[in-house]
Amino acid sequence: MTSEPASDGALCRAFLAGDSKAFGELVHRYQDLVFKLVRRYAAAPDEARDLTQRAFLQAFEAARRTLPRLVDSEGEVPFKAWLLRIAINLGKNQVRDGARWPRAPLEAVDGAVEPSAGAHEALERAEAEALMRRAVTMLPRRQREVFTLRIDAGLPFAEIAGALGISEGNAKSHFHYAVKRLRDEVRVLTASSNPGGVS
Amino acid sequence: MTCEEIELRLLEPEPGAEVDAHVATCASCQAFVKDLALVTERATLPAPTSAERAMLTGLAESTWSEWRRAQRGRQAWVGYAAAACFGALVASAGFWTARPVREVVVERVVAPASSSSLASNDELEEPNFVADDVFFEVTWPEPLEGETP
Repeated sequence: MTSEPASDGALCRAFLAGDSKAFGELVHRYQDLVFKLVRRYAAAPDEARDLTQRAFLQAFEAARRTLPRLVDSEGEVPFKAWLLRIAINLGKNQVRDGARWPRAPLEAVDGAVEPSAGAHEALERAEAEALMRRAVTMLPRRQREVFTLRIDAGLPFAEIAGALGISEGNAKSHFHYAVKRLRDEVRVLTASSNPGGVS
Repeated sequence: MTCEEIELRLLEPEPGAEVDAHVATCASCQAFVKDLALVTERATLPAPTSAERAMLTGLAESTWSEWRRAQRGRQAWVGYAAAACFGALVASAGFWTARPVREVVVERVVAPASSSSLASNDELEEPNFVADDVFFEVTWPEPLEGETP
């Protein structure tokens, strides 16, 4: 008989009772997800790691403040939703506070660049990636939240809706508008960065 | 279904045969399918590299340490605040108990204006007796009858 993994709420309650293992389990459970979300906004990988850690600390602080009220009602603890929202907000604040664009491509450090890719193609790819990054950060808040949760975190629309407190249809609608807006933004950005060229 | 409804259905993992049939004959929806693929492809970040993944090693431990440090800082701050409040309380209590009481100094007495029962100014200026008038007449008492002096 296999025991089911403890729920987020159970782990939060255990952690607030002083169980450091519960804390560690929550971090292990969501660290990849949060890291994927914030790396879009970070100028360097170590910055993404710091953002990930700060997201966890703020989410645990939210749990510390809120849980005494939830314990009485035995309600579900929306730890994951807190974490995702905090991560997105931290990422946006990071960009606002002067993060530099584009970030250095880590593939070069890691040796993951395809040998066949020439320098010109790599430069074009990096430029296109930077344009898209900038375009995503320029999206309206709700569209950006839905888009990054869908593309970066790979969450289904139902879960995105739950995390953001909106309906599933609303989440789809925001994503739909984000795609159209990004298509237009990329066209404009590409034209302005390459006036005489072909996109 | 309208094209917008079709486009929303295209966001689902399995849009369905009805949607496929519409897209096959609709240039606008075909363009959306291409846009969706282009944006998704360009917006998708490369998978985390091994260096990035290595950075997450030990994240739980370091986050726990940071949490504990912040908690200790908060507790210390609360302790300092409580000590400061207690000190302020003691100091204010000492101030109120040890401060000197001001003596009341009566510098002048103001007589009520309508004090008719008091002596008039003339009476006050004229003394009741004059020093020269004061004398004592000392005489021996007269002998009683049958008593010889």
